Amino acid sequence: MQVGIAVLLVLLLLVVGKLFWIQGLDPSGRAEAAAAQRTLVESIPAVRGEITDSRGAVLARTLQRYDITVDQTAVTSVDVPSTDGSTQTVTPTQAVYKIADALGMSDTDVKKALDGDKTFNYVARGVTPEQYNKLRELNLPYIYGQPTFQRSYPNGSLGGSVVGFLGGDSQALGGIEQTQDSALRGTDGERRFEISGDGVRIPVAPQEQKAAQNGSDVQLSLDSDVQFFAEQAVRERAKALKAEWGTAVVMDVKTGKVLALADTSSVDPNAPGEAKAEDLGVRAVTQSVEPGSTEKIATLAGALDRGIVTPSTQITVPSYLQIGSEKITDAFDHPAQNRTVAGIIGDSMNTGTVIMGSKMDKQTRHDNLANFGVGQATGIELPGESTGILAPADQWDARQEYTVLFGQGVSQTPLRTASIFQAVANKGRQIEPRIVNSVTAADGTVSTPQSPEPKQVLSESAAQDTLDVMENVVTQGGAKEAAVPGYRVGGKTGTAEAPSDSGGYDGYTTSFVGVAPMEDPQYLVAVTMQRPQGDVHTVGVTSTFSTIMSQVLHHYNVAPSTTEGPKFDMQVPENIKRDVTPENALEQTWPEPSRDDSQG
Amino acid sequence: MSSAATTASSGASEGHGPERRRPLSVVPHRASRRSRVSTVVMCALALAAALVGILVLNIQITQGQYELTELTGQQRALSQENEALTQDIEANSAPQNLAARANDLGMVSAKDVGSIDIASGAVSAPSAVAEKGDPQNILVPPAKLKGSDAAEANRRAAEERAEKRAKEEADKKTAEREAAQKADNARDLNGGSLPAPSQRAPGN
Repeated sequence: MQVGIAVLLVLLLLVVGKLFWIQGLDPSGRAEAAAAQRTLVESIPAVRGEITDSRGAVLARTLQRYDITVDQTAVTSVDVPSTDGSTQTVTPTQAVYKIADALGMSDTDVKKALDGDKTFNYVARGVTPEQYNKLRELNLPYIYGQPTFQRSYPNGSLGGSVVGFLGGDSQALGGIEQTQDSALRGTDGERRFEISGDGVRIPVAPQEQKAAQNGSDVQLSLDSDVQFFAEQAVRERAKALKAEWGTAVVMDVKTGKVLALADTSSVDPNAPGEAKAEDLGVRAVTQSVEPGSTEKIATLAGALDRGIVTPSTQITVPSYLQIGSEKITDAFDHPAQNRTVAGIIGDSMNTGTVIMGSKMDKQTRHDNLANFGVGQATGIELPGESTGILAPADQWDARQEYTVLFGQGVSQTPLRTASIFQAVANKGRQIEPRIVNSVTAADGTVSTPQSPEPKQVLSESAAQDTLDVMENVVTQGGAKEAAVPGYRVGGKTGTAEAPSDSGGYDGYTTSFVGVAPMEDPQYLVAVTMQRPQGDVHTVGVTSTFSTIMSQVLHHYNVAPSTTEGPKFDMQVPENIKRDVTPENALEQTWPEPSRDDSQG
Repeated sequence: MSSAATTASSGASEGHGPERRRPLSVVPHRASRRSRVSTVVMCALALAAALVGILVLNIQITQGQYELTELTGQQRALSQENEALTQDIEANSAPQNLAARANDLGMVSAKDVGSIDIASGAVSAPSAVAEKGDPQNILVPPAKLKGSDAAEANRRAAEERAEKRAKEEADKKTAEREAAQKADNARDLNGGSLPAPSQRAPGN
């Protein structure tokens, strides 16, 4: 009896000793190895933030998707359990058909993906959860699904280059996706937990979790509806004129916020690989063109601001100007005329603009344009912005020092042109255009990017005078088609020769920039068309401006105008100065405007 | 009870006088009746109860775990379905798709929007009746969204519209050509196949 107990005790001691050896001392690191085997570390990918328009419509969203992979070395006939409990043998050929059905792929593509001796190969990328679930029901042990994210852009190429796109490795490659990447991206998290042999998580085991910091949502000032009107209108016009490209900028005059940046063709961010290289950027931002006559507004504003003229100042304009060896003509033939400043701008006369503008010296002409931001980037939150070219005044040649007054020999983006008009329409206060309204972090805190400081580039009275002349362009001048029924509208046409890639010029750049309603301008629309085909007098975009502006005014419920705009005489024939010739026209003088005049 | 006590005390006083109380002694412990067998049974039962308890607890935890997994799966499935539906809604509400469908329904853009000055009650801008026109050719293509049936349907519809438009244009051109041919045939060619040269009138 006692011997038996002793034996038992010894055995017990042995067991306890072994237990202590394993559990307490663990010289071979079994516990660690076991923990490592049980522990699973999973990366928790941060969800990329959404991009929405000003009304909250989603422009870019992140969706759950799966990448389907295969271990090619394990592809053999397998017995898989079916739903009724029985098992079924699936040969690789059968598997190919089943996978192809589940994923909606062609049999040959699936076969190609399964054939080989790689342990890791993609079968399909970015399949929907629905397709993935169908695939999972096949219970094929050599097929794996890896959760991943896919960006979805519901509007497609509508504003596509503004929204931007991601590359194959989720690298932000264009538009807002690129410039706001740090906000949108977020920070990946990590989860550690223990699983049992059958893959179920052990509930009582310790687990650590570092939550992912999801990306912030970015709200743009872009309005999808306005973007659509604008894009549809410029595409229609560009198609009719067989233009190389066209753009439209719609802007809120009071804030400088961009409501639409329309392109005639742009990338569909859902399939950026199919887009042409020139469609990847926003042309209103990346393309610098000679602005042409729209620049006369900058010249006029500068002359008004410096007290050189008033809208009703009379200037005798010969049929052409001869300055040394340079001849400057107008787009239409006319005899010598006595025009008002409003009449010169109304019919877009190069000659009159040069007579008026040349009262500013060369450096002042340069500084006037630079003051409006010509030659500088606006700093809008879009990649690849072109600064345009404004050469220093001392590098201008004999012709350029006059042509810059009507927008030739200088280049700028359509957005910069719009920005000049924004300053004029906003009582002389220029606010650089922006497109990001706010950024909302994952925890709900909203931050608004600091808006650029308004810059008074023009006196309020000079701005008002410029607006009056712009309205006259539509009511009495050469842009009557720009009118919008019910509203007072003002603007300026532009036609410039487009520089050819091989030197010289080929084709035109036509444009119209306008604002409305004139009693208190709220919206600005700038349309530009590059190399439209056809006669120069028929390739304008004034009607396109009218279409877009009318939609914008209705869309934002702007009350129709109840007042009448100012009326200027375009010509005063009886006061013509007979002694003015093409050679001496620049020397003519006129009475300096009194303070009262310039207020009017 | 009190009456019984009274009877007893009266009996004692009537009898043989005070009797000496017997000294109390410790009653010897009675031998335990419980057998070894019952102890073992008790232990076994306790052990079994504990085991069953643990088992039930374990089963419950496992059950809970499975339920959790199932519910998580369900939640995932629902959120994925939600996501897919949201994608469909967004595809359908993309401006170009809305405009195209409005076109299909024969809708046209409003001409002039009327407005009323509330202060004076006057019509400050008269509205105009929309005019029936040719369907607008929507030039903004639908999005190439992946994994959305609605987007797929919109793309197909756009393709069909484009085909129809191309066919109509081709028909129109054929009709024009035929009309021109007819006019040509009607012309008097004086038996030849080429029209006689016409002279430009002076002054034109």
